[in-house]
Amino acid sequence: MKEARVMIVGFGVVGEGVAEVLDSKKKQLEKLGVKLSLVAVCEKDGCIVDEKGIGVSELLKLKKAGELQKHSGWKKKMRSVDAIREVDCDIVVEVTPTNVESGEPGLTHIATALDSKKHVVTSNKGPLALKFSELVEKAEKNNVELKYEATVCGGMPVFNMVENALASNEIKSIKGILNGTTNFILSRMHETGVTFEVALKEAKEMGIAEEKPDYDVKGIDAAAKITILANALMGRKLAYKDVKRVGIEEIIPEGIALAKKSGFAIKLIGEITGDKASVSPQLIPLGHPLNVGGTLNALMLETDLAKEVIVIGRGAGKIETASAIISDVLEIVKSRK
Amino acid sequence: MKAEALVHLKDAPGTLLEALAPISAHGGNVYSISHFRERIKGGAVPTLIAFEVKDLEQLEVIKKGFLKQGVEVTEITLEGRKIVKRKTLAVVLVGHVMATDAKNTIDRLDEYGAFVSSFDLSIAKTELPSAALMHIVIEENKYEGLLKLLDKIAEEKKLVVIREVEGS
Ligand SMILES: NC(=O)c1ccc[n+]([C@@H]2O[C@H](COP(=O)([O-])OP(=O)(O)OC[C@H]3O[C@@H](n4cnc5c(N)ncnc54)[C@H](OP(=O)(O)O)[C@@H]3O)[C@@H](O)[C@H]2O)c1
Repeated sequence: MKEARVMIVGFGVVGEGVAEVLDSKKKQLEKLGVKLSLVAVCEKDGCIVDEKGIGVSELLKLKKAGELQKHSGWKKKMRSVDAIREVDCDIVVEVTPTNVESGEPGLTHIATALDSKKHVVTSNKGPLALKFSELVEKAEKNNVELKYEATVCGGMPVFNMVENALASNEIKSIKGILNGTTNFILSRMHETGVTFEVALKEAKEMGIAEEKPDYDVKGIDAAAKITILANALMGRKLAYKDVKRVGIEEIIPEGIALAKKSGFAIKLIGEITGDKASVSPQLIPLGHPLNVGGTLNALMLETDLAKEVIVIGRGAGKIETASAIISDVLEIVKSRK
Repeated sequence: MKAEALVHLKDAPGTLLEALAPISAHGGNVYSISHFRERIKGGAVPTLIAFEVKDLEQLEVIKKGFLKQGVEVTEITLEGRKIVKRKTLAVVLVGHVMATDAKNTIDRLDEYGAFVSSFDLSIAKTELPSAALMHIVIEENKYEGLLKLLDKIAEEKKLVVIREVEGS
């Protein structure tokens, strides 16, 4: 049995999902020969630390009640960076909020973990979109792994698929729907003829869009993902700010209707072809594999050997994202001697 | 000599005859027509017309005839050799399409050698943003330049350009 001690930094939606999966898939993981124990959980105002292992069901109960500080291992005012440095663990799961301007607090968390010779698994796009090569180099220098499957298209296998199943393929171009919220809005506009504002309101009511939807509707989230894809899969030194970006706020029902009449749907497409990288609304033929509805994501990779490879799936969600994080954790544990 | 033209016909009566007119008008001799219904795109059926011409010169005259007639041709070959390779691109413009002089937009595309084969406008109210869908026929080697030109026009006129996904 291979054992690994895991620490979760940022105990929000995804952090909780990871804890849930660690608990619910315990037996299945043990069948795979892996035993994972949760030794620390960090929030903004303190950390829970128990190097013998934190009981997940009690943890989740306290979290639901908003009473993490009642846990016996609660260390008030212990900062995440200090916990990352000091707590004896193998893998740091960094799942704090994305910030594409400064990358913080994730950037400091990830750098500190790598420098402390801890493996890192993250769903946080900011640090990777801003400092991809620096972080990868840091991981190499410290001889630890940095894995980020969950940063792009949540539950869909992308990086691990290319690394394993498509090993030896060269990725020539990438295009896809990388944001579920905007896809939901555009799909509603296409199906029902409503305006952007109405579809956005629906999305908010359903908890699909956030109160401040700029990250999604201005294409910022998709541009961060395009940056990570370009760096990770195509070896490009692409900077986030160099991704040409057009959002979906100006799309009107008349445009959607004209497109529909001619056999197209309008979708927000992230694309890397030649030396161009962009996020912009494009016309997708109705029968095209990228024409997926609802909150689905779809990614089309053009490769030299396998030709076009298409992945369709859920780009976000608590458990879907946790699935990608756990798969990264397993990859790390399995590859250890 | 054997010539072939790949044309894209709207699924409506009379479009085939219109496409054949430039060939017969300039002495070409049509001997086969194949429709590729399974490859229908943007409501148009790709159709391969094979015909006999005397020489390249006659084919050039027929080629111009297609353009005049507004027939959407994406490929012409003579004895299997490509004379023209064009592609059609659907583009939706959103913004004040009319108020920013739609004719000027089309003329500028035309000047670059891009042929706007259809232009469909939809306006809810004159003071509000409107949308237009156009099909643009362009020689393949000028495709990248066309995208740049569209971006430039869009920036100047504050329009959103929504182009057809590449390789569709
Ligand atoms: N949700 C998804 O479906 C999804 C999918 C793919 C990727 N992601 C990415 O995954 C990350 C987490 O997403 P989420 O939905 O779980 O967000 P979330 O619910 O906002 O959770 C983030 C948590 O991190 C905490 N936090 C903030 N600063 C911290 C610090 N310095 N130290 C420790 N904890 C800190 C936040 O606390 P406060 O609430 O007190 O600020 C919050 O509890 C984001 O980067 C997101 O972009 C999410």
